[in-house]
Amino acid sequence: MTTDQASSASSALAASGPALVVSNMDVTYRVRGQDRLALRNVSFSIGRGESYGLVGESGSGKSTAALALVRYLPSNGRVSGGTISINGLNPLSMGKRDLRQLRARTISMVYQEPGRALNPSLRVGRQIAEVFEVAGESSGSAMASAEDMLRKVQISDPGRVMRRYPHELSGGMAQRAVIAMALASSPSVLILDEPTTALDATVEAEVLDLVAALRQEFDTSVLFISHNLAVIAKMCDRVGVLYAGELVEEGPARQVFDDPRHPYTVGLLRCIPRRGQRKDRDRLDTIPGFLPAPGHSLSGCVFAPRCALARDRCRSESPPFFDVGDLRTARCFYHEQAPDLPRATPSSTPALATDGIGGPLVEVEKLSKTFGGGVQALAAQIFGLYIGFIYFTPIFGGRENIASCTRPCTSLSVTCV
Amino acid sequence: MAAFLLRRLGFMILTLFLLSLIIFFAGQVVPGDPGRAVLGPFAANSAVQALDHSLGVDKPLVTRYLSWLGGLLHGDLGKSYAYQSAVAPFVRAALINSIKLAALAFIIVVPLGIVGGVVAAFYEGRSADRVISVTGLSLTSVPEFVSGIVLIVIFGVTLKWLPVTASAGAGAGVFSQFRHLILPAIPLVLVLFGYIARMARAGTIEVLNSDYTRTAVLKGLPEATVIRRHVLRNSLLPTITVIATQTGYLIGGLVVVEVLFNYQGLGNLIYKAAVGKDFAMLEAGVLIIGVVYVVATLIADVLLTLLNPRLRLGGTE
Amino acid sequence: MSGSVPQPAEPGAASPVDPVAPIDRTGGYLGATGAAAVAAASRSTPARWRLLLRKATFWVGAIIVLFWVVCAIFGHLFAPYDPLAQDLLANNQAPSGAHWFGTDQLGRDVLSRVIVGARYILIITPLATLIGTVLGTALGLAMGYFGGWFDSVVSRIVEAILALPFAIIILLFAVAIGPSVGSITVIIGLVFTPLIARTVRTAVLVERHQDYVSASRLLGESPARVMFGEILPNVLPAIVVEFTVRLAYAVFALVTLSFLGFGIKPPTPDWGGDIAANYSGLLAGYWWQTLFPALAIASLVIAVALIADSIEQVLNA
Repeated sequence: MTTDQASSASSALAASGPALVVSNMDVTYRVRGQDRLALRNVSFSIGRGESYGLVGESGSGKSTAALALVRYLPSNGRVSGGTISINGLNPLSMGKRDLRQLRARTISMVYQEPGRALNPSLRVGRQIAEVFEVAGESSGSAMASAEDMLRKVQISDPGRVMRRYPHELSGGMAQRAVIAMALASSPSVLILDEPTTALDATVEAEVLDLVAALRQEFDTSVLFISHNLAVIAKMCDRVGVLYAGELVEEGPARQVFDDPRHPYTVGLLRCIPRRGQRKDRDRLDTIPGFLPAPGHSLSGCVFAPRCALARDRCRSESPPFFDVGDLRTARCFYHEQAPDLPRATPSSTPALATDGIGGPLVEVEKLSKTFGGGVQALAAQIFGLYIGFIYFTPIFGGRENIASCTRPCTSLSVTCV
Repeated sequence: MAAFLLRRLGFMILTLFLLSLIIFFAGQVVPGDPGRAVLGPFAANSAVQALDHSLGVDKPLVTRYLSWLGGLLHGDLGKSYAYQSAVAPFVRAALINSIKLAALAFIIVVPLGIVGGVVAAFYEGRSADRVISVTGLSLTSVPEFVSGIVLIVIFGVTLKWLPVTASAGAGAGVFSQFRHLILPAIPLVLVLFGYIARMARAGTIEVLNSDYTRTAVLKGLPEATVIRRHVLRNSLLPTITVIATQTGYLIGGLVVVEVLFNYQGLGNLIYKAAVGKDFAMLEAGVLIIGVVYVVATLIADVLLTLLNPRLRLGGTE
Repeated sequence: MSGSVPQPAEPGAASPVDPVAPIDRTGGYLGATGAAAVAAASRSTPARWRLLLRKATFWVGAIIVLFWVVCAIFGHLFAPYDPLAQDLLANNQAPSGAHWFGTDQLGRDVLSRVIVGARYILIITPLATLIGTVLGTALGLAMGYFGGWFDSVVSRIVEAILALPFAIIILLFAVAIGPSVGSITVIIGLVFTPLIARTVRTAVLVERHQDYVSASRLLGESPARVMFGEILPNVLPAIVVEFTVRLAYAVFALVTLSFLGFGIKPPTPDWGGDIAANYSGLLAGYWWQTLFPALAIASLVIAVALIADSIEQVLNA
């Protein structure tokens, strides 16, 4: 089918089907002569204008999923099973030209370190204009469109930024530029792979607000990949939880986080501090054990070795997806008991009555550190550090010798209690 | 930018100063008694002392150094004992000859090395890469005179395609000079190819694996554009600077090749001076080489700074 | 189509460069735990030895080097003639049944001289490289660890020394001190010291700011203990690679020195020296006198370079 027919077919589909459908996808890496499955039997779909979050720890395979969708796996990786459909098109069977078209028009990606995602030898404006040039615009009009795009991502002086080189931009600014570049082609699907992990918290908030606004404006479907549950909860309509290469729970974001039905999700949520918890009273829970190495044995549930609810059945049979209502699924035989998952650590500690015993353990007065080159470091005034309470006393059993400062300091007085 | 240049210039001058100290020390002080060295162990003490006095070596060290340095800055490179005349004209003529040979070698090896390295990078891990890398490595390790001899035996003696001597004779035309210079240039090319190809390969691989190459590909840009504008532009930068540092290896190779082919270049001059214990000539020649190398490094630094926007414009806002 | 910018992913294409290995802190795109597991496995020594033994380049290099080592140690036992025995009536004979490699100007058997000639090279080069490595490592550790003015001053000196091409420095010192087995070994070793120091210093600088160094300093460990006990084991792979690479270069340098006449004095069989002595024979067509020693040099030098390359590949994987 020619590209014209393909694009008209896809726009026909665009009105109807979901933007992205992944069915039973397996991704394999060949490492030192052995095949290792990084993703196993993963299926999810994203509707038009919908925002889907893929949540998982490091090593769960979430970024692999993103790369597989655009067919940019490294040379020893391949999609070894399943199908992908983007706007009705199958990237896995495309030739080079069609794949290029797909990448240029239909799907875009933003990833973690914005500074590294931009060519250091080209001006920013040029790089954004490239997207418009690929779409057929002349270089003059492409530059104008690029500047327009920068305005849309709320950069106040787009002309100046256009002329800058990537290293001259701050992290937040660079990420906006990358987002501008990604949305320049008005893609149907936008993949965001940990887009704010490398940014400061305040900048992160701005960028997330920007993404939410742009999503409305461009009506783009978004695949948001992150290990940060809070961000996903804020930004996504639906969420899928990935563990060791398998999707273990899926459903509307609010419900999955309020009422998780898979032991792993339950454990994850217990690891995050919530409002109202106090460090001196409550304890966060942990998930004992470690992620399995890639290529782990395939029998049984993948989470069984670390699950407090696991029984023999879990170790021998791999659980299918259970429908838990409300368009939610969970891959656990005992999903009904998941919310009552036994804790790995006690949920509270006895409060210690140590308020005020002894004075400060370390006290810093008029500490100042100067760096060569005339940069004056921050001059600290009087620091009172009352560390003597809770954290050191029970662990170290009392007094603690603080190692002395190894750099010359001006009039530092360290008082040990 | 200007501050950077001034600083680099300052370092260059400092380096040259240290260089002159080392050369002076090695040439004037370490050999011990130059008079004895020249006249041999059987000459009479009085003859040795007379020679020492005429060479000026019985003056204190610092005076000798300063007068030598002063002479240098005036263009007086000393007096050659062997030729009993000023060193400077010999050095000048030899320098020009060496530059001709070196230029020919560079013109051949730089494009060859870059292309080899870039191709190896694109085929990384596969047979083309291994072949280019291992070949480059093997050729780099073979001393120039060894490959020179093999070439002479094959092309000069057996096949008689190319002349064995490097000098075409006085007043020879450009083409004839070129024909004579090819055989001596090839060993230099073989040694340098490995270094240049390896740098080009490493630089290109790093760029191919970078995030911004991925961005360019995922933007849907045509392959040729990605290669030209995003890959090569960034990978060739470090390679260009390395080329200037190849001057060091090139000079070492020049000595050997010029001796082998009996070519009147700077390397040959130094060699003969070393063997004949003509210290003034030896020091002058070595100093000129040091200057050339340091200047080449400076040019490379400047080039790198000009071409790399990060260095040119400074850090982030 | 192969060789293009890395797209699209081909099914089952193996890559010896393990992309899972570069661990990026946030777990990256390739699965950090998997990467960590693989990388941890690759850092264990038994696995690395096995990898080395699997490389073809290692075996080719090792076999050739082994052959020459045998020649160096036992050559006098199986060489067909005494390498020093002259037979002026049978001089300049082409290769024949009696003399497989022919005879040289003085009627000595070239084959025997080639076999025994290995001894000279294989005694000096490992020793010289070892001296350079030990001294260079100590200097590099000190420069990298202490930093400050010590580092600045020594770096400038090193830079000035390295500004002179290697061959020139050796030439200068050889002229000054005079060739003998001992002095040549020491000279080459001393000249390698700044080269190796520079590489070690760079490696040390990387480690210097790691947390474990700060931790041991806070514990009150002495500088010597930190340098040799903590940092040294972590820069050891870089040093091993340096050693093998410099060894190849030592052979290169030694042989070049012999060719230029600064090697061991005749009549000891010496590849470089023999080439220099019989070079004039080329014009008369006596190619065997120089070609066979040249090929011997080439084989040894390439072999060592191949070993160095395979070790580098394994340690940096």
